[in-house]
Amino acid sequence: MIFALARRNLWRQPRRTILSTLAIALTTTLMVFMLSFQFGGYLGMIESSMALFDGHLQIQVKGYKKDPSIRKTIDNPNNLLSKIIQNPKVKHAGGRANGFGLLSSPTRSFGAMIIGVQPEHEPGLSTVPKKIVEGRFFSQGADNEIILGQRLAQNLGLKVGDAVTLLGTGLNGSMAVDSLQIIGLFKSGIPEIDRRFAEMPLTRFQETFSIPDQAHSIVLSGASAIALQEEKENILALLDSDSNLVVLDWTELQPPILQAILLDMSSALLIYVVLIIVVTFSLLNSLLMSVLERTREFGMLMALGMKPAILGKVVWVETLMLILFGVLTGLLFGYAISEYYHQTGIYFEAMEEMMAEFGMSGSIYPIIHPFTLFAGPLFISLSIALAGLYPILRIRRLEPVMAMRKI
Amino acid sequence: MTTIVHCNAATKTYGQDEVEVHAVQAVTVEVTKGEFVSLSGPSGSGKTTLLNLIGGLDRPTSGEITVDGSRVDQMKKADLAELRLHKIGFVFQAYNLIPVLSALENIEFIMQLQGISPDIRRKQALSILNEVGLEGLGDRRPAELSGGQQQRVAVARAIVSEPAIILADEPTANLDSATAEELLNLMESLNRNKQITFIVATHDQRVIDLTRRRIRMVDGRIDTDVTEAD
Ligand SMILES: Nc1ncnc2c1ncn2[C@@H]1O[C@H](COP(=O)(O)OP(=O)(O)O)[C@@H](O)[C@H]1O
Ligand SMILES: [Mg+2]
Repeated sequence: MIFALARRNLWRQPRRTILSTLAIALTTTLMVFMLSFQFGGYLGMIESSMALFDGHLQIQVKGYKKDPSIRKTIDNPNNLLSKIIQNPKVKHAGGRANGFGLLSSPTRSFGAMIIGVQPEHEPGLSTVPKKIVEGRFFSQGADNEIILGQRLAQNLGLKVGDAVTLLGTGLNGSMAVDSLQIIGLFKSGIPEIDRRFAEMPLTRFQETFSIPDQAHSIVLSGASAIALQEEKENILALLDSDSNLVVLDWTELQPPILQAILLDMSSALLIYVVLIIVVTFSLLNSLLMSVLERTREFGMLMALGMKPAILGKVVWVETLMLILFGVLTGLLFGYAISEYYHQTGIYFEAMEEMMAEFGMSGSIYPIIHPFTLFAGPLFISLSIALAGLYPILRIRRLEPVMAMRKI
Repeated sequence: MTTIVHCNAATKTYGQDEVEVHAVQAVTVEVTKGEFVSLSGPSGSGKTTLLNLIGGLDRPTSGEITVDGSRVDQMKKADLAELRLHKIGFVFQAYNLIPVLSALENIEFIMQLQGISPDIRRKQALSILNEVGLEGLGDRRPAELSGGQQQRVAVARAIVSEPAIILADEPTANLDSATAEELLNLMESLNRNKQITFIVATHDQRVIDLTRRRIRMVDGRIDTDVTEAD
């Protein structure tokens, strides 16, 4: 009876019911899509910024990230690589070593980050090998070769095929001196990297900097930074023999990205809260109206012996039906729109240049995740349901004689 | 004869201090089973208030009211609702029916609240529908019925669960005189054939003429109480 009455009552004012349903549906659609767009954007940002250089996870000696001293090395990295690659989520793994050095041409000198990479593994870990604009990346067994950021080479006045002299400090203050041939130039689009980075084969690096068979980090990549973040504990377990090692995920490798995301989330949250408040108040208004205009009828029903609690339930079911229709419709549309753009991506012409600097394409791909799908509908439902209690409280205070006197 | 309603010095005073309104003053009256009572008097004489007191919709300021053996003046709100549901049938001047339910469903409504099974209540509702002369109109919504037909549905709903008493407050006030007379004739025949007790508040002289016991109120008091010999 409650259900049938509620259903028919909703159709007494079809226009109002449809408008209320649409208001809920629209807000839900908007929230589902905005969340999926927002998190798709975050994911794109994380992926593209990790893809350039950092990879999805890194194993380092404890404290190296904070204070990267050349002494803090991982022994026998190849042994570790063979262990880690057993984890099915890890697609690529490779060792790296980092040092600081002065690169000199016959006429000029510039300080640079020198990175030792494994030619056979590096292309799976970083997009730098794909960003070679002149020359080529290292082939397997490469020895006295180096690739430079394009800007660095320009500053030095050097071209592919020229020799460059490296002067640095190796382990325990030893001199690291080498002469290397430039075989390629890369352009990542990030000025800091193109001006100050150089890569050379890890084996040559180990000789030059006197750290035989050692590395500073093991870089891992998998399906995504998030996928490997979830695998962190399992990978750490593979290293149990060496408690001095830590596994760093994207939040630890690139704290500024996490901070940017958190900042953006908090401003987005404000928008969502405002959105929910607006739709809740507009619904509260129409719910209240639908109760007030039936005061006389409610008085009559109570006079006949209907308990206020049952009357309240009828109105409560009306509210819940309204929410259910609205939220389901909104969820459906929100999902459809998100799924469509998930496939095609949303292209921002104005942003392409700016995003390219961060290694991103001009498109954002919304993602579909239980959270992006259901967080909006859940909070909208809760908020309106809560507001819907107010008209019901008014019904409970109704006196039949007074109520029937009302026009 | 079984006493259905007994009022002993029932008083209802509205407002406080200087602006007190004595809507019903020390009314003592007894109604027995099968009576057909009209409650007349000028507007504001306390008819509605007295009906509300008897029907458990309002509580007296002082005095005792007993309906079918229950002390209505001492009952809790929830118990009053229960009493109204099971023992009292109401017919109001207007807005009697639930607009979203058909005539038949409106008649079934009370039985539904009482928890009577669907088969039984459908059967009873159909038979009452015929009895009040509305056969074939069961599927219509109140808005699709004339004023007189609506009041017949209200009467049907009031009698279908066989309450101890039916209280009708100006049931004919919104009807033309021919329709009003038909409705009154219907109530009168139901009273005669089924021994259902009626109290009808009205200021329509033709309605009063149709009743056997005529109570007239003035200023919240019973002015005259005349029973016609059969
Ligand atoms: N809720 C109320 N508050 C104050 N005064 C009321 C209320 N209900 C009725 N009255 C007053 O009580 C008196 C009797 O009213 P009522 O019983 O409605 O008379 P009738 O039905 O005979 O016209 C009137 O003077 C009316 O104004
Ligand atoms: Mg009245």
